Amino acid sequence: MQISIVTIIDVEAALIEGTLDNNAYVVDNTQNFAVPGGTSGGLSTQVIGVHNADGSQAAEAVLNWITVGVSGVPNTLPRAFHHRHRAAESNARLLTAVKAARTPNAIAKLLGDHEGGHRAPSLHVRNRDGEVRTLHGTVMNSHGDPVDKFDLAAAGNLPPVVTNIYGPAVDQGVMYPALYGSPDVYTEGWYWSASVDTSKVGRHVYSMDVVLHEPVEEKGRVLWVPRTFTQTSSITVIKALNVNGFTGCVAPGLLPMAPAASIYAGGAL
Amino acid sequence: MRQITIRLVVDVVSVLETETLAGHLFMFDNNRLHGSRDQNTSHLATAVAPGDQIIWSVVPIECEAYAALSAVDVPAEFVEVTKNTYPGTNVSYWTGVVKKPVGDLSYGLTFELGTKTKTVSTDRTSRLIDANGVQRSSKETSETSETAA
Repeated sequence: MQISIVTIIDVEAALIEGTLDNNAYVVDNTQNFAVPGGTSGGLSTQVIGVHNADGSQAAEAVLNWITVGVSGVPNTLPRAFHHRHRAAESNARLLTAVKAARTPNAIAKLLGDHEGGHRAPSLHVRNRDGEVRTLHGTVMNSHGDPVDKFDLAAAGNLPPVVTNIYGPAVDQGVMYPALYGSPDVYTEGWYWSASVDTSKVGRHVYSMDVVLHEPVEEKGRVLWVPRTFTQTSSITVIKALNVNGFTGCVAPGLLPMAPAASIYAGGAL
Repeated sequence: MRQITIRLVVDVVSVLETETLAGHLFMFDNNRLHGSRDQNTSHLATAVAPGDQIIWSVVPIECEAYAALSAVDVPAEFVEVTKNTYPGTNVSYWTGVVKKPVGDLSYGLTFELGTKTKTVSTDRTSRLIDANGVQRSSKETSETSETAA
């Protein structure tokens, strides 16, 4: 089963309070399988280990993590949407304005106007190695429009980035996580996924490092600085016998259809 | 004037199986520090002040599943809502500006799930409430009392 684990983070509040407590929530598509009273406290992702009568594994369980901010554009947008405010689009707008200008002075003013928004917007971002890189583009709010200023409210629109998944569930070989690029060219494709060793029944804890970016004034410009937060969650592996969904008998079995008297290829019933 | 995003996380498959949003809709907003309550439930109470812009945005738990909002049912005297589309895409969202203090206002949501023709509505479990520091005027309070009487 493809299990989807969505973590929703109020990025602005997390940066203000310095914690993911009360600012991050985990929702998944497995709670229909939860045993009432089975897990005390927070949500545990239920992973069903489907096995054959002889105990061998009958199906795979795959975990997929999607981590989104409460603010900002949704993850359902096509990949190209995130480039809307980058250099190519800004230059195209500047060219249109220059073509429409009537006098050399007007053109000079447009080209020299660094504040008017015609210049390519850029973000200065410090990566986790401490290097500062300049990225073309700007911060988009939930409308898809550029934000007015780089403050904590603007930071709320930058998506959280999961940088590591680790802990006992990984150390004990229960799950095998890795960062993947989705072949889906329509939406932004990076996500974490893991296969699960479903023979290891029980509750297994894991941690997730999530990077949020915070605006900091440095040398007269705004620098976006990464801050790592940690979220702890768990999976609960339960066993289920592979059964025929039509008959309830041990799989594979037969379909509940009366055999026809005479059916042959190409013949009429 | 804050831009308040209400993120609607929905388990599309479970809703289609059970024909109800109850237990399968998880609502979040970015205004907890100004008074919002009940994050991660279907009865989110979003704190708003006059002038705030609200954006309703849908995220399906399984990213392959189709989910969108077809209606936001809130009295227009408080918030006039419109449906928008991100330019160049078929992804929609709803917006509205808060015109005056809301008090405690229930509102309904109708979703398109799986396909455009399959719609399911909430039981008006979600609310808009006044943000910290927002006072309703005494005139509005007395009007409400008369209506309730």
